[in-house]
Amino acid sequence: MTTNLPGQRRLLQTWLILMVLTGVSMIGALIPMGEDGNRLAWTGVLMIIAAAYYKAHRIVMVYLNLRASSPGWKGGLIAYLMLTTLVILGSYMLSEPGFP
Amino acid sequence: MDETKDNGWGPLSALPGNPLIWVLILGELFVFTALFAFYGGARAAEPQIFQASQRMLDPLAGGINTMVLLTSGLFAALAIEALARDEVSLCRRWLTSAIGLGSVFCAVKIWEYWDKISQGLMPDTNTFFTYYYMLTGFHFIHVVVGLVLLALVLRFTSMENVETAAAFWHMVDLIWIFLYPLLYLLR
Repeated sequence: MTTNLPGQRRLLQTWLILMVLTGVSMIGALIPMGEDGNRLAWTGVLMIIAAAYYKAHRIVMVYLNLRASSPGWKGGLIAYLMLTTLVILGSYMLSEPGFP
Repeated sequence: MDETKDNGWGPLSALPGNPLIWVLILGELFVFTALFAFYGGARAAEPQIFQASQRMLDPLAGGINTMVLLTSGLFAALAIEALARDEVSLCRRWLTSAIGLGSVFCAVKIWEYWDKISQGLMPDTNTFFTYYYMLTGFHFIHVVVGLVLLALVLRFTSMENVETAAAFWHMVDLIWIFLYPLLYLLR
């Protein structure tokens, strides 16, 4: 017997959010910066990173249904998502001009 | 999640599906995060080469594949929801749809590999393409394993089995959600 499963409506709402955020991140990658236009604007970078984090959060909480799990697992997985997001952001910043 | 699940697995009992799959999932997630960090270090060492190489990837193909994989994940979640209502045939239809879209993901990825290889862009072309083939290839293997698991639970349909296969499939989603911006968008 299963408990607290997300219903069809919630799953479809989550899917719609995931589709929209994928589109937002693709648009974010089109915002140029600099004279040659070859670099991403920080607005675009933040859009891409924030969309990736929130999409991953929705997958974990709704598709994987960890919202019905223990606080320890929820907190642990959210900490993992934050760590991975920071690794990706940090990786990008490290190779940008002006950062050591 | 199963209310009557044996508690012999300790904290892992609070997770959906067979607890053993979670040992694998958690391990794989941390391996990928470590690989992302190595990629970041390599990118910092050769930023121009990485930026120029990333511009050779097709963000639209990657975006379409993201949408395909996330929709496949929705179908896997709907399969669990259907099975919870004892609608076994509907559950199997959702699982079949998830497998179908997972196969589309593989087809698009193979097309991308073919396109790059035909341009002479091989794993030894430069450091970026070494990471590109390694990261996407490692993920591709997980997609294939996920498809095999989903196919197996089509035959052996029980709540624990479907939750186990779906949990693995959502992990595949989760990794791609980070891999897509890392390789295709942040350039």
